[in-house]
Amino acid sequence: MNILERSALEQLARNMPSLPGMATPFITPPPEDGARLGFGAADIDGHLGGGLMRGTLHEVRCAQTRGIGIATGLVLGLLARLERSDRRIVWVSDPAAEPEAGCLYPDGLVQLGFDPARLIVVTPKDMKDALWAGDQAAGCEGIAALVMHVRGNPGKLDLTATRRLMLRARESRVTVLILRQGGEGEPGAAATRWEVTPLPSLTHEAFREGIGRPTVMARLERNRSGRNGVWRLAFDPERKGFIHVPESSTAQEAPTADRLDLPAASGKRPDRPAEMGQVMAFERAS
Amino acid sequence: MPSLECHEQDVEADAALLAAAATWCDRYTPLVAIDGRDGLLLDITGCAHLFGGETALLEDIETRLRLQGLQARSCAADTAGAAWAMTHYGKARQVAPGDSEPVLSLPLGSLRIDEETVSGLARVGLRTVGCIAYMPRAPLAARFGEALLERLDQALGREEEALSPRLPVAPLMSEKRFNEPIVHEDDIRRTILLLARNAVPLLEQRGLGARVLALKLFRTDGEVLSLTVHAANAMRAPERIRALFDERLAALADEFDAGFGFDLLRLDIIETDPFDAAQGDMLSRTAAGEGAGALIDRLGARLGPERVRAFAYADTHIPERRSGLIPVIRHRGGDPAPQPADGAATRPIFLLNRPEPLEVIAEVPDGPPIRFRWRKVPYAVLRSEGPERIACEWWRDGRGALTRDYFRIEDENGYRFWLFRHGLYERETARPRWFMHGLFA
Repeated sequence: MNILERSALEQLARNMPSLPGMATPFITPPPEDGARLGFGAADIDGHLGGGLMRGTLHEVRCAQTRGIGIATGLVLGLLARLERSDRRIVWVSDPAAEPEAGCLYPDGLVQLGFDPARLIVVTPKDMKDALWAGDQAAGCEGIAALVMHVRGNPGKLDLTATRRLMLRARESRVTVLILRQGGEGEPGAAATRWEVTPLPSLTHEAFREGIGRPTVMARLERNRSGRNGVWRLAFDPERKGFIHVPESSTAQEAPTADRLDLPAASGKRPDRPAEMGQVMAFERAS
Repeated sequence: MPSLECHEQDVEADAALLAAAATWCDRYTPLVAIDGRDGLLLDITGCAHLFGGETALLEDIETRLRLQGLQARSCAADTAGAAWAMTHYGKARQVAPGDSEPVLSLPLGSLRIDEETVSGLARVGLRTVGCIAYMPRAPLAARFGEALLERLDQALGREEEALSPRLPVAPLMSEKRFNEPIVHEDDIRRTILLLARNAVPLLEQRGLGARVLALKLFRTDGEVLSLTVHAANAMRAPERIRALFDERLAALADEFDAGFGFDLLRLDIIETDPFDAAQGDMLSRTAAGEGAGALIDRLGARLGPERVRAFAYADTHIPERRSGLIPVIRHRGGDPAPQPADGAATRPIFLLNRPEPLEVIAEVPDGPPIRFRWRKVPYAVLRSEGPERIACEWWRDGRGALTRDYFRIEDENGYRFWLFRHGLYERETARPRWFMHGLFA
C-alpha cells in the first residue's frame, strides 16, 4: 500500500478506542508517527528521503560559539515537529558550555513554537556524568528525543561513545541529536552531520530596516544514506515547519564556510587600523 | 600535680561527638533530642518491647556506647523530667510507671532549675522535690517564678513536655537487624529489596506511594550512613525503589565505607503522596509515562535531584528573573509559558548567565548600536530593532537602579543578538554602559 493509505490506517489505529474489558487496544498502534522527521520543506525532505531518520543519532554543529542560538533554533524547530507532544525531550548540557552560552530561555523557545514544558534539563557536573545521563536517556522509550549539548569536541564523546548512543537510540526509537557549540566536524557514528551558519534574515515588507524571519544555511556535511547538500531555510512558527529561502530574498550573500574566502575579517582585527575613508555621522550632542 | 594530663576543652568536637551519638541512637527510636552539653533524651514509648523491655534496652545502649568508648548513665521513667532527675542525681535504672517516690527524694537541683532558685529555696529550708511537691503553688510562683512550677509539673507528670527530635521523623519505616553484620554490597542490595517489599503493605493500607525515601545504615562501630532518593511521582514498586538506591550507591562508590559491617538497616519513607490506583494498573498505564518518570528518578538518584530540572516562571519583567530551572521532583507543573503576542521573535533562545559588558558605538541619546565589540571580537550592525524599554524593579533593586533599553541586533553575517543599554542617557546616567544579554535563533 502506498504512503497515503498506510498513514490513513495508522490514523485509524490511533483513534480507535480500546474495547471495554480489554486492557490493550484492538490494533497495536504503529511504533511511532512515521520513521522520518522532516523539515517541512520539499527540497530538503526529498533529498533526505522524507526527513531525518528517527531512532538514531544526528549531529548539528555551529562553527563558532556565537552561533549556538542559530544551531539550537534549527534543532528545536525540528523537534517541535515531533507529533507526540506529550513526550518529553531531555536536554543534557556539558558543564563547559554554560559559561559561554548561558542557559536556555523559555520565553524565546515559546516564540519558536517549541513548548519549554517538554524539556527536562540535565546539568551534570562533568562530561563523564553527562555521557552517563545521555546513555540513560537514549535508552528510555518514554521520551521523544535527546539533545546532547556539548562544547567543541570533548575527548570523551568519541567514536565509541557515539556508537553506543546510536545503538541505544535504535533500540528505544529515541532521536538523539548532538549539538556542538563551536565544534569541528569529526568522524562519528552519526547518520547525518550538519553545519549551521546564519544568514541575514528575510526582509520584512512593512519594515525594511528591521529583522525579518531568521534564516540559516544548513549544510549537510556527512550523510550515510545519500549525498551532501546545502539549503537555505527559515522557520515558520505558524506552520511549525521550515521553508526554503530563495537566494534573492536576503539582503546580502552569506560568507561561505571556507574561512580563507572571508575578505573583511582581517581588516577588523584589533591590531590593524580601521579602513580608511569610513565616514560616521554623529548627531550633535546638545 | 606532675602526672595530671591537661587538655583544652574543644567545645565543637564535644558537640560533634554528642551529635554522632544522637544519630546513632536513632536505631532505637526516631525521637532523639540533645540535652545540654552531655546528655540525650530518647522517647522510647512503644519501642521498648522490640528490645525485650526497658531495662534490656538501657543495658543495650550502655553496653554499645561503652564499646564505642563512651561512659553513659541512663534511666527510663514516665516523664522526661523524672528521667533526667534520676540520671543526674539518682541511682535507679528505671522508675516504675506511675511511681513518683524516687523523684520526690531527689535534691531540688534535679528539676533543671537555675542555681539561684535552688539556693533561694535552700535558704527557706526546702531542699528536696518532695518538700515543694504538695505545697500551695501561688506563693511559690510569686516568690520563685513560674518556671519552677513548670519544671516540677513536668517531672511529676502533671504537665506534658514535648521533645523536639533532631532528625525528621519518618511516618513509615521498615528495618532489619543482623546478628552477623553485613558488609557486601550485594547483601545490602538484597536487604533493600526486602525492606521495600515489607514497606509496601504499609503504603497500600494507607493508599499512599513513596516520594522521598531514606536508607539508614548503622555500622557496628557507631557510624550511621544515610542515603536519600527522590521520586517524581509516588511509587510503590519494590524493584523501582531498589533501582534508585542502586544508582545512589553507584554514585557514592568510593566514599561508601562499610567498616566492620552494618548490623541494622532501616528504610524510612519520609514523604508520601496519594497513590492513584489507576496508576498502579500496569496494563492501562502507558509505558511511555512510566519510562520518563523512572528515567527522571534514576538521573536524580545518580546525579542529585538538583541537576535534573524543568522550567518555572516568576511574575516579573526582568528577563533574568522571569524564568528559572527548578528540580523536576519539586516541580508542580501547570505554569503555562507565555504565548507570543504576534509571533515575532522578541526574546532570545539563550540568555547569558550575566550580562556581559560591551564597547559600543551608538547614536546618542536613544540610538541603536552601530558597531560593538563583544568578547574581544568586533561586530558591525546591519539591522536593529528596538528599543524595548524594561524598567527596573525599584522595590527590589532600589531606587537608583537603571532602566534597560533592549535592542535586537543582526550583524552583517546574520548572527542575531539581544543587548541593552543600561541607563537612559542624561536622564539617569551621563555614561550609560552597554551589555550583551542573549542570543537569538
